[in-house]
Amino acid sequence: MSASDVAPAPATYPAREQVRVPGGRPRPWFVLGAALVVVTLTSLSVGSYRVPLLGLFGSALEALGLETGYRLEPMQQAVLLSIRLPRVVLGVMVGAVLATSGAALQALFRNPLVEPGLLGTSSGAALGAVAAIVMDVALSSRLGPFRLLVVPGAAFLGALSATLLAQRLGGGGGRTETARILLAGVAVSAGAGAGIGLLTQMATDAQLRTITFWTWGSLAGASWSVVVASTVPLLIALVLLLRDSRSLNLLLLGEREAWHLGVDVEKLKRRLILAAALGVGAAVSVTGIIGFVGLLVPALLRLALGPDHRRLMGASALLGSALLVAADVLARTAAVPQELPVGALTSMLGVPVFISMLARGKGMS
Amino acid sequence: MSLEARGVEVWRGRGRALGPVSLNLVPGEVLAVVGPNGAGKSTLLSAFSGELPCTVGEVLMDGRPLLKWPPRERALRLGVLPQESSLGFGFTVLEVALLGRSPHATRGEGSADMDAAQAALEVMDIRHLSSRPYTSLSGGERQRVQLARVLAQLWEAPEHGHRYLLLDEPTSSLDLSHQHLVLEEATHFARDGGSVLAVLHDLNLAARYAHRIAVLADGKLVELGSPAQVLRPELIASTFGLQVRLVEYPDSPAPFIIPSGRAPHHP
Repeated sequence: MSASDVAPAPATYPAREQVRVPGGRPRPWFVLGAALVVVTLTSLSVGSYRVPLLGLFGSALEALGLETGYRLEPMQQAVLLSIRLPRVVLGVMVGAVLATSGAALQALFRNPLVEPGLLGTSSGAALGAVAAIVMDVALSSRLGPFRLLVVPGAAFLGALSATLLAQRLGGGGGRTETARILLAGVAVSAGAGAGIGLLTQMATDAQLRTITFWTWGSLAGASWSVVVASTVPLLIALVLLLRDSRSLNLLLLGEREAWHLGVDVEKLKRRLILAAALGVGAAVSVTGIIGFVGLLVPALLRLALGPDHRRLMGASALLGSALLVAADVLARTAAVPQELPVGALTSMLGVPVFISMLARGKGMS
Repeated sequence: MSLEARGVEVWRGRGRALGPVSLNLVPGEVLAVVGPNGAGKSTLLSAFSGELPCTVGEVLMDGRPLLKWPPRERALRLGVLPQESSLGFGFTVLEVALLGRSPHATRGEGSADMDAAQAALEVMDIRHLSSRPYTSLSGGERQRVQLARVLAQLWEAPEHGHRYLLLDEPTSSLDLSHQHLVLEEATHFARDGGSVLAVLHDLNLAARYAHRIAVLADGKLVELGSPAQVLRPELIASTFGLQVRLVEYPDSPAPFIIPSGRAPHHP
């Protein structure tokens, strides 16, 4: 059949412009970008030691050769450059990776309740990281300069094994049942959690801060060397996940349907799991487990933008960054001089959303 | 130039679920596959579509083994409507139809893709639902959206070769008038040079719209031919366990089947 077989549309049909099409849904980039800029500047400025924004802009312009009369004092500059900035950069990257990994895993399992934390990916990564740290003494003498890669590498392997295990237990060919996949995640997380508990007891204090770090997560460990070590895997994961946005839409139709539309489904699934494991592994190895970012961010964005991953993935990266940086500001400033674990804050936000999605039966088949 | 199954067998464990079946789907025809429950109709369609590997034999599309086609090239020629599709995410109806265009729109959808998607919705009588979320539709509406998606996928003929449309029970959730709508569209598709293979339960629909009917029983092809050749009371009694009478109508190419009761010897 061809287009000419079709009767011309009667005048009562909405004109093309009025039909809600992928391009016709709201464009989120300006709002999300502005939100990210605002929280980033806030995070650079506030804290136990204030860095005034006027001075920050003045110094930045001065570096470009423009005199404004405002500048940071040396102490302010030191706090900004060696403490605040690496922390914000790390927050931006980790937030983006957690949120996009969540969205990708949800498409892979065809279920909006899936998330790296709930699936066991994060616990697996933490177990891998802890194991590498505990064994560090034995490994460090032989590896030389590659030592920096041991912890993220082990976290990646842990994340990968946990995700594959959860997929094996909870998945099947078609749409995955919510109860089954959540139970698989519970089992994998519990196993990994027990391993972390045992290993942290064996470790010395110098090797591990506390078990809390691995269960709740924090950006407090950020430094430039941490940022440098984790940038490459985080960015690779992010690029891989964003590149597959189109195919993720087809995956939502079903694996058979995606295959019939020309997607190499097995390769796509392998690529997604590898990318998510790489990103979550790198994130967890430097920040510990920060839960529910991957559930909360795509869930909110789907309400506003619809399920098209060509917008959802990029928007998730932006909102994930903004959310994690904002949560970190709160973690640093809410209970001074104590610092709250940021993972506990994101979970406090995420759990009600998760419960309401469960209660409304979303993702139940 | 055809979609051809050559001596295809599908084994599950030690049992043979299908075959051996040799079947040639040629351009311009609507081929109905009928048979009792569990006869292997869906297995045949899955093997024909390439998604189920053949244990023995092979499926050729336009002379080339189906799995040797690059995925996108295959998707430009072969469209499949599965028996049921679950889509739990809130795409609009138009967005679902546009997903069918993805083999064409490797760099984002253009106006040709939008036109094809909207025309496919028009043909399936669901264009008024364009902006409704898929998840809010009834079963019959969803089935027509999925069919519109597959029609949008095959909307225009590829530069070389033919289009093959495989439908697994495309009328199962539809009201009477839309059952006929779907099969009329299948006929249009065949008239424009495409081929349709449709698994159907209603023998009268098959008799009315199909050029050829394939009867499957216990995984084997027991009869293949025109409706008038195939739909004989004794064959229907032995394969379906149903006693029927045939009524001829003057302007109808095929007889009309009227069931009169279950065949006595059938379990």
